[in-house]
Amino acid sequence: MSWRLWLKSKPKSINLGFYGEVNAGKTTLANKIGKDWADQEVGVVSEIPHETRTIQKLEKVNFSSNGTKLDLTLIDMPGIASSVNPKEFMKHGLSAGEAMQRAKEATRGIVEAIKFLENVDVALVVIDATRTPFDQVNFTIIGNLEHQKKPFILVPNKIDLPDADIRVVKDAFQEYTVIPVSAIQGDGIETLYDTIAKMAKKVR
Amino acid sequence: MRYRVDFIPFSETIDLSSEEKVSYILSKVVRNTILVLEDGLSHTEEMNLIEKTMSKIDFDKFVGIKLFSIEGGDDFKWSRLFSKNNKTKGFTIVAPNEAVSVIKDKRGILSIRIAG
Repeated sequence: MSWRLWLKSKPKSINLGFYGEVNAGKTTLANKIGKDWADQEVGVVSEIPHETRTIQKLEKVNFSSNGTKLDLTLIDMPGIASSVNPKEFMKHGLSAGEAMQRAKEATRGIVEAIKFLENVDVALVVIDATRTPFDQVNFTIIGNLEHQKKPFILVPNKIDLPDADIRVVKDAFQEYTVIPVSAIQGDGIETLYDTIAKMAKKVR
Repeated sequence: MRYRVDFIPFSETIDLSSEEKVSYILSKVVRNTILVLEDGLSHTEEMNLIEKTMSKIDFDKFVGIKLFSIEGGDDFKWSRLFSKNNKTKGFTIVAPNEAVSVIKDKRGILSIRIAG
C-alpha cells in the first residue's frame, strides 16, 4: 500500500469536546459514546452540580458511522457557569468544607474549559431539554465556537423526561444543527453519530 | 443588600479595549452595581468576562455574575432607551449573581427580579 492510500485509510483524529451548562448531562453523554465505541466511561455522573471539575479525556475511541471512521478523543469539560456558590452544594448535603473545596475546584475547572476551547475540533453543546434554553451561557459558548469556526452540534439532552420540550430548543436555535437525545436511554444517539461523522468531514 | 443600577452609555466604554471593558465591568459589579451597557458585549468578551469573574470570586461577598445579552434585530427598538443614533447592536446586562433572578427569559422578553 502506498503511503497516500495508507494516509487516506487512516481514521481521522478528532478532539470531540462536550460543552454546556452545569448538569446538562455532558458526562452522561460522553459515557454513552465511550461505552458504545470503546467500552469505557469518561467520568463520574452526579446530581450535585460541578461534579466534573477538571477536563476528563478518553483517547483512542474507534468510531465509525456511515462509512466514516474516526479516531476520537472524548473531552468532557467542566460545566460553564458565570457564578459558583458553595451554598448551592450544601443544599445537596455537602459539609461547609466540602462545599468550599468543590467551589474552588469548580472555578478553576470553568477557566480550564474556556481555555481548552481552541483545542477542540468538533463540539457537542449539550443543553438540558427540561430547562429553558435561554441561559446566556449557551449563547456565549455557541458564539465563541462560531467565532473560532469550530463545527458544533447542539444536543438537547434528557428528552426521555416528561418536562423535556424539544420544540422550544429547536425554535431558539433554528439556524443550527440540533440533534435531541436521551444519553441515558440512547434515543437519538444513532442520528447524533451520523451527524458527528458529517461534522468531522469539515475538520481539516 | 442594596444594589445600584448604572446605565452605561457608549461614550463611557467605546474607547476601551475588550480587556479594559471586562475589567471596568467587574470593578463595578463586585461593588454591588448592576450594569446596563449600551455597548453590548461580543460573545468573545462575554467568555472573557466569565473567565475573569472566576478569579474575582471570594465565596463570601461575591460568588459571580448574571449576564444577559439582548441582540438587536429588525424590530429592535430598545436602543431608544439611550440615544438617537443607530449604533446599538444590542445591549448587555451584568449583575452580581445574588442581585437578580430571572423570572422569564424569552427572546425579546427579559424579566428579572432585583433583590431587595
